[in-house]
Amino acid sequence: MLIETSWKNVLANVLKVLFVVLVFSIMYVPIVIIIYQSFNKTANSISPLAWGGFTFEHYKEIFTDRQLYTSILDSLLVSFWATLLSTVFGVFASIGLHALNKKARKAMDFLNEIPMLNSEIVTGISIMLVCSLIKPLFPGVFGFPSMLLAHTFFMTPYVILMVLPKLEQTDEALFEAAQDLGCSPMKSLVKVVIPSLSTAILTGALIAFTLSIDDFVISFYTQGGGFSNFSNYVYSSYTKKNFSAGSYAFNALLTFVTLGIVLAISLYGNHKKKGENK
Amino acid sequence: MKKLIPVLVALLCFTVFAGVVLSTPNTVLYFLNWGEYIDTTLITKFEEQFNCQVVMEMVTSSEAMYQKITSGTTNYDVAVPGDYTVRQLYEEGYLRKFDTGNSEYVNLSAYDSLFVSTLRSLMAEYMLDSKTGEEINEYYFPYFYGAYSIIYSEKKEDVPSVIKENGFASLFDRSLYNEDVKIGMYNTARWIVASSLMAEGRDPNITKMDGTKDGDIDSELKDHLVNKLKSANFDEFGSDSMKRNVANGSLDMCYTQLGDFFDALYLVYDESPKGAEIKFNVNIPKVTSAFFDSMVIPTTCQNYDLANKFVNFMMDGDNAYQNAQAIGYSPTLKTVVGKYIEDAENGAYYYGDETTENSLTLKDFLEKYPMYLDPIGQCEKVYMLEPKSTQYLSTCEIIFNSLA
Amino acid sequence: MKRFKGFAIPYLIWLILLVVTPIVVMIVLTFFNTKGMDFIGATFSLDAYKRLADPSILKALGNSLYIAFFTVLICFLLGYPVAYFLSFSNIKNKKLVLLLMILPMWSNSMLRIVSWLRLLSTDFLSALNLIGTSGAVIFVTVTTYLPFMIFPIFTVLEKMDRSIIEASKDLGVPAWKTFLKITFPLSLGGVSSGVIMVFLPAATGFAISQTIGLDKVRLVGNLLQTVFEKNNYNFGSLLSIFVSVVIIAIVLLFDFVQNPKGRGNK
Repeated sequence: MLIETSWKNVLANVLKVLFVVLVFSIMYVPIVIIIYQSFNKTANSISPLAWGGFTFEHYKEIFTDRQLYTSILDSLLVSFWATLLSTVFGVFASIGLHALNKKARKAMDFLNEIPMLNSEIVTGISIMLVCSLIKPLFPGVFGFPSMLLAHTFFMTPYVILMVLPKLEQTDEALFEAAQDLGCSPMKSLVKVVIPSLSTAILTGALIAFTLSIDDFVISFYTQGGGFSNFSNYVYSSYTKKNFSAGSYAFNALLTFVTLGIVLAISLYGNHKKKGENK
Repeated sequence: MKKLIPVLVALLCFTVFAGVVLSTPNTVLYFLNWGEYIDTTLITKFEEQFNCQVVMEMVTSSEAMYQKITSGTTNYDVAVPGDYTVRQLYEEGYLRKFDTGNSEYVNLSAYDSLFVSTLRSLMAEYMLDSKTGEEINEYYFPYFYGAYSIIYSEKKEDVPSVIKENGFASLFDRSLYNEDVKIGMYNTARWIVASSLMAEGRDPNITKMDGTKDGDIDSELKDHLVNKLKSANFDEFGSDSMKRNVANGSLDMCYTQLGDFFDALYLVYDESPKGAEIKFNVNIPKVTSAFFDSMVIPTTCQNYDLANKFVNFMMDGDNAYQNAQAIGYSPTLKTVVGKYIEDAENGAYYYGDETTENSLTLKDFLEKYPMYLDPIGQCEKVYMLEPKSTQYLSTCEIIFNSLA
Repeated sequence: MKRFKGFAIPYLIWLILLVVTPIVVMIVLTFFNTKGMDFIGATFSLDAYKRLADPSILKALGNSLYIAFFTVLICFLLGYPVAYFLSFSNIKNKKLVLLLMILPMWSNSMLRIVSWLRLLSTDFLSALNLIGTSGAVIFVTVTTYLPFMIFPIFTVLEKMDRSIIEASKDLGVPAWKTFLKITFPLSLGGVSSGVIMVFLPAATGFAISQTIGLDKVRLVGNLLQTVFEKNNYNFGSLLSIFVSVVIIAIVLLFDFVQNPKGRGNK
């Protein structure tokens, strides 16, 4: 009886692992293609994915193809600033929301959910309309300002989503204790409450950044003035012969670097654990 | 808060760095263009010559170009809209006149003698002010031109002959072929409507079955077109991807513009160092419509002098010749056509040279593809698409949508 | 910390400016015939409303919901087991596996879509005629948004009190019954977040249907994109409002079915 069960267990485990590996591999197919293309001399061939020989040329293009590196820098610029703004904004908004009474809170929660429940395309169009409205007053609005506005707008709710629940778990006594020890309310907030939220803030910022750097639709509607982003560069030129295969190279490079960091952290972590066990 | 300071410092450093890389110390020319529609080395040459930077944005349809120019998200200095969009932009006051009186711009001031005669007569007949009936010449400079055509694969035996015989009708009737064929249609709603009308030998601008061209498409014509297009059951709606698919054989034919064929031809030569076997061809139906894209200066232009300089530069014989060699569309300038013929006589090559295995002489090229320099010479009836109302375009869109 | 109420005010103003203003502008736009945002020479017109009645609009909406439904379903069927197996496995490096799961998301999604397009267009796979079908659109949408399903479920499962499951096991309840009666109901919060996060982009995107669907699969996102491209802000605004109302109604309905006591009781 016991032997039979364990045999069944082994089979079940093998199936589980196979299933997980299968799903993982489906998600890794495009990554493998991107890496393959980044070394493929004929990445832009008429016959899709035809191998034309090994090259590092595409990696050079990241720094030489103006359309490409401009779009990469545009992406990074918007995402970094929007992450910073939405994180700061989100943290303070969370504190404000936390302080509201039940009724006001409910109304604000509803408003806060709209940017998240609305589709990206309608969000993009909405911000475009707002920017068109203020264009007569501020002619240079389309470009970095409009994209920064749009990104901060759609990212802030995600930061709040991460920070607010954590804030609600935070002990009010912590805040009061800081005040009893002579801190001003503002100082206790900055020195005690916010640091206690650091993990949630960091997670929120990371999620916001990930969504922002990958955004296509919202940026599609808010780009302008020669300012765009990487996703839009790929979208507008992937069928063209002057599409730079440096795009694959840039993406592959990013994958290698993150993979390296991930492995390094996990190896370091293991090493540390072993050290502690001794 | 203390942790925030290094983040801020790093961010500011990055911003300064990005700012330096992205910044344009000299004047900027905002150029709205189609993708794959200019030899980029010419842009570099222009930038060096005039100490400026050209920022190019790309669109995929004439309507998108209209939207980009009129919505004002970017203040473009030069754009390249198609013929009917040029007329519409002109009528609505979105275009600025070129500085043709200025002798500094030798090519701009030579307007009347610049263009090949077939194109010049199309311009004279078609590009008119709707109120005065006069030519609107100094508002646009034709950049490239061509005709709507069918690119087809020669893989299946009966395809070339059926297309030759039936013109655009061969895209709509699968019963003409002995075997199953894959047909691609351009994903621009207006072109879809135009192609189905021309397939029946009708004017692509009509709005009623009796041939009226005013107002919106009526329900009778609309239903007729929807049924026709539904029964055509296209395998793909696309733009630039279709020519590639015909070239690699995954599509048997598609409706597109002539220039796309030469673009794909060049790509195939480029990719086959050991000698290209060209298994696809192009047909310009006897009843078709012509088009030309022109350089214009929108009223949003911030740098009028530079815009004039740019168009003058692109209208220069040598530059235009170099540009034409990189782009597949037919050249508009007399001098460029002259250079082609002269070079062909002198034994120049269309692709490669005597040392490469994969080469084609210019003479052979022009003999094999005479339509390159004369896209509408063999046609019996050549239409032009006319500017239409928003309602008309909406109806085209509805027709397209009802196919999905 | 009640004294920090004021911190909510800037955010309130921000939300009103960026949520309410566009809605008002859109509503106004639907009643006119304008040239883009230019109201000079605008005339009152109900053309936009007439066009909304066209059957092609409902059809595109139907296509969108169909694609989104199957995308969500497949994401759930693939994502739940993966999250479950990962969470309940006793592998040492759970974090590493999780990071490997995030890694594909750090690749640009547009480039991933283009890569699928290239792969499906190779001679071998193009013979299967996958490109241009709803099936291919669903497949690529699933691979693009699957992590959005896995993460919330995984997070909820990780936080779950394992002693309840142990207790159920000790009482001799079969594993499948424990799962159905305890684990699954407790993980519903994660499932519902995942469903919403996958449903929204799947129902309203336009890039995948355009590239992988070859424009033969036309969704509301494609309609919206072309309508605004044609400078028809009037109908575009109406369609935006329409799409938002339908999508938000579906999400709220789903939320209600899943948690009838309301959101506040989570």
